[in-house]
Amino acid sequence: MDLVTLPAAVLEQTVPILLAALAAMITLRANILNVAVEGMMLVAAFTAIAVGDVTGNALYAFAAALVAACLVSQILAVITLRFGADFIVAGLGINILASGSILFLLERVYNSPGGLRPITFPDIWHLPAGALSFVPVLGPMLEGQSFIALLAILAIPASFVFLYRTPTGANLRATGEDEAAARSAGIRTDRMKALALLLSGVLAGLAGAQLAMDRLHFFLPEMSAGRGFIGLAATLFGAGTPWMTAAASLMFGFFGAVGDRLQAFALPSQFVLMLPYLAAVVGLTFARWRASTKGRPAAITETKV
Amino acid sequence: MTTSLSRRLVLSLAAAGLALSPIAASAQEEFSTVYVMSDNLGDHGFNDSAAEGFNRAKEEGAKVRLLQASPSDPQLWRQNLEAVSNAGTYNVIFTGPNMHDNLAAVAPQHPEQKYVFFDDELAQPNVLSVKYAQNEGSYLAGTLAALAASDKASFPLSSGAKKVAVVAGMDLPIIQDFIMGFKQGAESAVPGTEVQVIFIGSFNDAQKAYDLTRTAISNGADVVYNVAGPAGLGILKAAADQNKYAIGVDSNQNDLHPKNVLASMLKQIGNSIYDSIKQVKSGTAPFGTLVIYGLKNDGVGLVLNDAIVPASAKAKVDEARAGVASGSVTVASAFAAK
Repeated sequence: MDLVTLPAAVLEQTVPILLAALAAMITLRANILNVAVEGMMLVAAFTAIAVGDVTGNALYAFAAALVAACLVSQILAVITLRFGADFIVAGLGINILASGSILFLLERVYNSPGGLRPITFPDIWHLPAGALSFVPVLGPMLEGQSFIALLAILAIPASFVFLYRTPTGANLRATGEDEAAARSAGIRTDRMKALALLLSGVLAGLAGAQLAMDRLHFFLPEMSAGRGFIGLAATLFGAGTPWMTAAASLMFGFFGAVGDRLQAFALPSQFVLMLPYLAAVVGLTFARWRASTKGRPAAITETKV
Repeated sequence: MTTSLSRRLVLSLAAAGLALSPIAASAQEEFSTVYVMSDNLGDHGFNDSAAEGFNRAKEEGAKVRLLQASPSDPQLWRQNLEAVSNAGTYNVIFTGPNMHDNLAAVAPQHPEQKYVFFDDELAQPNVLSVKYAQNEGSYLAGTLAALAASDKASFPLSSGAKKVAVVAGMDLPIIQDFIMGFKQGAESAVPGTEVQVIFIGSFNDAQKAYDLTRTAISNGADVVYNVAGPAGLGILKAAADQNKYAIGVDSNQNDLHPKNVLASMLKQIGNSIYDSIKQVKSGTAPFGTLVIYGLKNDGVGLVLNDAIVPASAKAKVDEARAGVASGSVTVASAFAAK
C-alpha cells in the first residue's frame, strides 16, 4: 500500500462526503432530515459544467453551482414550509425532479442524454505542489487539493461557530429542539428552517462543484453515486455535531481510500467495495446504541418534572 | 516485416472489398424492419451504433422504424413489442438489451414473425440471437497494452515496467469476459506482463473511477483499459492527468484525450445489424440459433489512435487480429464454462 499518497486520497474521498454531511447536519439541527442533498449535489455538478462550458470561467461556474443548489433548497423549503409537505417525501421528490430535469436538459439542449463533457473546461485553483512541503504529513496531504477542499475543511469550524456562538445559530438549534417553545420565545421557526435549508444548499453546492470541477471536468447522470446519503449517515453517526460529523466523514473517506488500495492485494472486490458501507452500518448502530444509553436517564428525569 | 506488411495489405484490401461490394440493389419490394428499443438514441455508444446499421440498410431501400422508449418505462417497451408483432407487417423485428423477458413472452405467440435479438440470447425457432465477442476485442486491447507497457522507445509515456491495469465497473460475467480476453492478449504479446484488475462497483461513479485509475498508475501501470461504461470517462481523464496511456471502450474515445488514448475497443453493433438485415432479405438468416460476432466477422474491433501507435505495434496488433480471426488462436471466454 502506498502510504505516501494515502492521506491525500483519504482527504479527496472525504471532501464530498464531508460537505454533504455538513449540509445534512445544518438541517438536522433544525429538525429536518434532509434526504435531498443528493439531488442538490447533482444539480450543482450539472450547473457547474454547463456554465463553465458556456462562459469558460471557473469562478462563474462555481458561483452558478452554489446558486443552483440554493435554488433547489428553497424549492424544498417552499414545498415543505409553505405547503406543509413531509420533508422526507418532498426531499425524495426533489431528488427525482433533479435527475429527471437534468436528463431532460441533456436530451433537449445538449442532445446527449449520456452526459455533458465540454471539450475544454477551465481548471479551478489547486494548492500548488511544494507550497506546504515544510509541514510534515499535512503538507503533502493538502498539496494539490482544490480550493473547494480547503473550503470544506474550513466549513467544519465555521459551522461550529455558527451553531454554537451566534444568536442565529442558537435560534436555529432551538427551532430544532422544540419548535413550539421556540415559537413562543419569538423565534420565527419557519425562517430558521428555510435558513437551514439554504445553508444546506450552499454546502451541497460545494459538494457538487467539487465532484464535477475538481478533476473530472464533465457531468454524468447519477455521478454523485450516493454520496449525499453517505453524508446523511455520517451526520446521524456524528449526532449532528460538527466535529463528530467531520470525524465520521473522515472515517468513510478513510475506508473508501483504503478499500481502493486493498484491491491491489487480490482481495475479493465485493468485500473491499463493501467496506465504507459496512463502516456506515456499524457506525449508525453504535450511534443509536450510544443515544439510547445516553437518552434514557434524561427521558426519565423529564417525565418526573 | 514484409510478411506482416503484405498480410496487412491483404486484410485491408479484404476490408475495403467488403465495404464496397455492391449489395443486391434489387431487394424485394418494401422490405420493412423495426427496432423496438428500451432506450433512447443519442448515447454515442450502443444505440447510436445500432441506428447507424439501420440507416445503412435504409439507404439500400429497406423501410426502417426505430421505436425509442424511455429507459425507465418498461411497460412501454412491452407494448411496443406487442404492437409491432400484432401488426404483422414487418419482415423482421429487432430488439436488444433489457428485452429478454418481453421477447420470451411475445415471440412464441407469433411463430410466423421473425425476430433478431442482439446483445443477448433467446432460444426460440423464430428468433435469431446475436452476441458480441468482447473477449476477442479485449484480446487485441490486451495485446496493444502489453506492447505499450514494455516498449519505452515507441511509447514515450510508458516506463517499460510491463505493468497494465483494467479498471472495470462491476464484477459481472460480461465484464469478466472483457477481463479474460485482455489478460490473455497481454500475456501472449509480452509474457510476464502484470495485469491489475480493479473494480469501481458502479458504472456511474466517475470520481471513484478517477481515483482508482490513479491508484493503478501509482502502482506502476502504464496502460489502463476502461471497462466501466459512462464512469470510464473518469478513467481516461485520470490517465491523461497522470500522463499515461488508456484504452477506451464502447465508442471511439481516441479523440477525447488524443495524446493518451491509444485505442478504443468497439462492438460494431451497426455492422451486425446491417449483416442480419441482409441475411434476412436473402433468406439465409439462421433463425433459432445464436450468432457470435467477433473479430472474424467485424463484430468487434480495436480502433487505433494512429498518431501515437507506431506502425510496428500496429502490425503486431493486426497479426493478433489475424490469428484470432483465422481460428489459430482461441480466446478464453467467461461464458465458455456454461
